Amino acid sequence: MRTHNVPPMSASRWVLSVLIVCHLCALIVGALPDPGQLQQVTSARQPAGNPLSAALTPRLDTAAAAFSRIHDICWKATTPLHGFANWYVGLSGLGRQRWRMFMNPPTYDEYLKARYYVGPPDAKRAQWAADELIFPTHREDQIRLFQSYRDSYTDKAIALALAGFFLPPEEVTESANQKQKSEGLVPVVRYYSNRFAVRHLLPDERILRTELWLARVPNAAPGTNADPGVMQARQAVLRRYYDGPIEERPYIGSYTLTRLMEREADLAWVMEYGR
Amino acid sequence: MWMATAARHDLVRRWETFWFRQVSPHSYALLRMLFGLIGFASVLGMTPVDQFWTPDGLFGVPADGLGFKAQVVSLGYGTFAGRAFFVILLVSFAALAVGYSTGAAIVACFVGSVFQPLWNWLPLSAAHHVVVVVLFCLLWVDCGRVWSIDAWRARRRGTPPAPAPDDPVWPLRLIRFQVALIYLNSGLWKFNGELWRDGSAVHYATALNVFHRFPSDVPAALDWLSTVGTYATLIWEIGFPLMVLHPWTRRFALIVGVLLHIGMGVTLELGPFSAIMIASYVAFLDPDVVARIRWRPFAFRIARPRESREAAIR
Repeated sequence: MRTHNVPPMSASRWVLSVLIVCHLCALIVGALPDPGQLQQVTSARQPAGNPLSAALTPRLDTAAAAFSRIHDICWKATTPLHGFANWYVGLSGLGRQRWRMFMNPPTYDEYLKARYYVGPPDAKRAQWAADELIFPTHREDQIRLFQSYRDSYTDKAIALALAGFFLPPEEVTESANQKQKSEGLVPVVRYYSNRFAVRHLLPDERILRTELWLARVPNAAPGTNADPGVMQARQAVLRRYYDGPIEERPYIGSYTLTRLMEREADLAWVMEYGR
Repeated sequence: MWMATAARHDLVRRWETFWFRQVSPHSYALLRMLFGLIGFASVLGMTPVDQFWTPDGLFGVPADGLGFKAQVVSLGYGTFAGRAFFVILLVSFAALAVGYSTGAAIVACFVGSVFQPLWNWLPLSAAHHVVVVVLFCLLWVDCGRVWSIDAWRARRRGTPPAPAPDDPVWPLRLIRFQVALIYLNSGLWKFNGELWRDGSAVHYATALNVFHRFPSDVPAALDWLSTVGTYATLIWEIGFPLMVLHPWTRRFALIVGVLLHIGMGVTLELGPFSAIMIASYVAFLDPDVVARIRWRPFAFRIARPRESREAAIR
């Protein structure tokens, strides 16, 4: 009886209700990843790690395989809505709801250094060269406090540039992605070259070539400690870089356009990009 | 027939109460202040200005075609535009935090934040995306009616804003939905990752040299802790949307969330991400409790309710 005395919902609220429902639907549908972006769960693993991991991993692997089948069904069922969802989240500025933070944390430490070859403007050969560690921005032998907040933006920019450069082939489908991949490290080279030139070059010198060298060092597996001797050797190498660019004067070699490799302690530097 | 009509009316009434009941504006004001402050700190973090905002910096290569960015850069106005963009966004977030010309400030913050990845996506992380989606929800409500310079100026002019409560709850509910979706989505992506299922993800995440705050790694003897942390994070993130449905479990979910994000903030350098996620939890607090916060210099307290909760809602 009481419900008959309640005034009906206003027309504006009905309209707003429809918009809210559409908004929520678009967010949910827009959050569904393309099945091709998901890792395939092939079989249940049997890790020999700690008891908790050993007990849960095979069960979770089985559950993940089942979940991927459910996801496929959801993806196919919502296919007619994908166009609307993408249009709406793009138009509204909300973007695709892909919250992949730490989805697949790397199992290795990453270091990036820039090598600058310097000489007179018209020189064919470099007179001197310098190596500068540019990533990560902070020192590893100190606790990161307030400055690291700003450093985190620099690290993010370099990490995204690297990710663009190493974009997996299956994601290089659109022309924008291809461009991002080929030019991913251009901003890094350009910015650090300019900075080095302003800080370290004389008026009659210029950078003839800049290279980016990447080192990836596997981290200790769970349940194991990193070898202290190896870590100390690496820290000793890194400390030389923390004092500023390491100069080689005069530079007697000649730079090459091929992909090279160098080793310092456990850091195996690979020349990934030169310009 | 009568029963079906009554049930339909009841459903509509519940729907209307759920989305359109009026709440005090203080939750919106607190979200405005927190996201204004965090947005301000985020923009300020992207300095020196020429490093992140101008074409000579760590600046994504302009796209081909007739894009605005490519046009501006090719005309030689890239440096000016980047610096102007930085100043406008910084001032907008400051205005949002203090509630000065709040309506214009929140539009400027939202539009600027949406435009930011188009200008330079390189320094932006998921934290930026969270700010965008929360600002989108705050666009639809006047969040400068209390705890703002706008309200203070209105009082001085003798035209105080309408007495609270009279803001609709639906933008607050949209923020709740959005935050729940973030955790669910993040949890399901993690569930797809092998390292999360075998319990080693937290071990590897805390060991990463780009993020870890302390020079030394977690000793192997404490590895069980990272395994527990991995599974607890997975369960908590996927379970978050369910836990926030009921007040008891919601309290648990939020406390765990605060502890988790503080733990992440202490051990890893993730920029403003932890602060942003904790700030978003304001949307889950009872608006009437938030309305009773009394600000004092360097301290605040929550006043006792002077009227029943039902009366306050009405």
